[in-house]
Amino acid sequence: MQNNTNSESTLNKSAANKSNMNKNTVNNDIKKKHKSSINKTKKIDFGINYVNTNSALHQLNGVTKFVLFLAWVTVVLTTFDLRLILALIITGCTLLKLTKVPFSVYKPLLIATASVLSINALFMFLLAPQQGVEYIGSSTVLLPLWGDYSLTQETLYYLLTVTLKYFSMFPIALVFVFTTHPTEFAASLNRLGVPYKIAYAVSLTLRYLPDVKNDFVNIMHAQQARGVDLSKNVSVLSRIKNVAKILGPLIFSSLDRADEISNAMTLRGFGHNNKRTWYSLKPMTKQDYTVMGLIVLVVTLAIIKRVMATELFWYPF
Amino acid sequence: MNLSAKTVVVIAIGAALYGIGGLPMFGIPVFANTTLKPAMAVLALFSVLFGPLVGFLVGFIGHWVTDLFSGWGVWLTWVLGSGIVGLIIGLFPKLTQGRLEKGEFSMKDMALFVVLALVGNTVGYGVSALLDTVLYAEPFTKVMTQLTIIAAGNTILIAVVGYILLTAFAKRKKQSRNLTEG
Repeated sequence: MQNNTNSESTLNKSAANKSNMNKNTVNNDIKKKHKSSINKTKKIDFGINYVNTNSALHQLNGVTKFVLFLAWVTVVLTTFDLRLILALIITGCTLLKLTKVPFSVYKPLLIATASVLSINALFMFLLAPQQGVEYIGSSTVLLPLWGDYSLTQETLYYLLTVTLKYFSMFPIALVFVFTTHPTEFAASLNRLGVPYKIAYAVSLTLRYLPDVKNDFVNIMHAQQARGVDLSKNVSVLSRIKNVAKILGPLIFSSLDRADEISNAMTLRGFGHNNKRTWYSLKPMTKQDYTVMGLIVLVVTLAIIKRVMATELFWYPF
Repeated sequence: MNLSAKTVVVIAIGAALYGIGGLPMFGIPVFANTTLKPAMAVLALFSVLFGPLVGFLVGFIGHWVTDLFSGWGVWLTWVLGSGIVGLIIGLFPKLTQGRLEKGEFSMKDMALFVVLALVGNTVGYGVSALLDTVLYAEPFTKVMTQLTIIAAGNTILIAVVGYILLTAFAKRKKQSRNLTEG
């Protein structure tokens, strides 16, 4: 958590960032993001955003990309085959490369995800050291340790498969966010049958994320200036109580804001009709249908493979 | 689905608040890989104020959007879990016949709130944990340990923050009701 000195420097830096805002080419933006990821501003940057590089993936319809995303999730969830998982990761990274977004933009995320997944794998090993042996059904001890904790080849293989399985979701989520404009995302949701009010709620969420974030940071700084301590110096219970001192004003002011927004929307006739059209909805092209066909084929094959397979894990040794 | 514009906006603002409150730097780390997130208190409060449907959607959309836009991949099982937590805590206004809206918040209601938070977290993230063992072949003991820590931690966080916020909310409502009663 930030202490008072820290947040002061963050304030200065974000002010400096703002004054630089005028030169606004994509490259500059990206460079700035990379720069800010080195200094403290990173702490209040909200992850990743749409980056328009006009790549082939940007030309695809949002509907197609969302279907690709859902299909990807389906295939990942149904498979424990390391070959298929590796194929997914390679495809994902190739797609990520095709977005033409510079590596430096998502490098910190890659490191963060990798470390979270490693810790996850470590805990899986600590709490159930023989899980791999149970699933695969053989036991080849590589490194004898005390008790149950002998390191077996099967356990290592199992941990590798599961960790890579988690990781295979990483590139596609980035591809989706980098190449799909938020309003097109909402339009695609609606096109795929999600009620338009829910789709619009998603779109509004994305619209208000930066605003709410600013409110949060402002209120946090104001309360910190009054001596509300959120750092490790105080006990967990008083930290929780201090969180309430930030959330209180934040939630009540947000509820007032919600009133204003909904009044404005009602005045403009939102929700009057059963259907809604979207300015950002693009017509489907031939390419979209080709990609869709490919997706359907791959998903069908993956499901058939899962149903036919006799054992859960593919284990070559 | 017949949602009013107000409900749509409340879902959106709630999901955005949930998204911000779920960012790792605002969390209180209590155990390796487990943080107490202010997001849980946001989810609990929106569920209590606006009922199960808003609760579910705030949890589901909020968690989905944070996962997607913070770039660590979408952990669908836990996204669904957050939705169920909101759904269950959202039973509060039905069970208390909307007493909170009238500015009443007794200790009995507070107890119900804590019980709902505990049940919600256990059932909601229990579903996530079970799905993790099925879909990701995670060890049962590992997800159970995770679930116990998360459910206990979240319940304490929701209880403490919720008590402060709901008392403040009831007071606010009571003040505006005095006019009609007097």
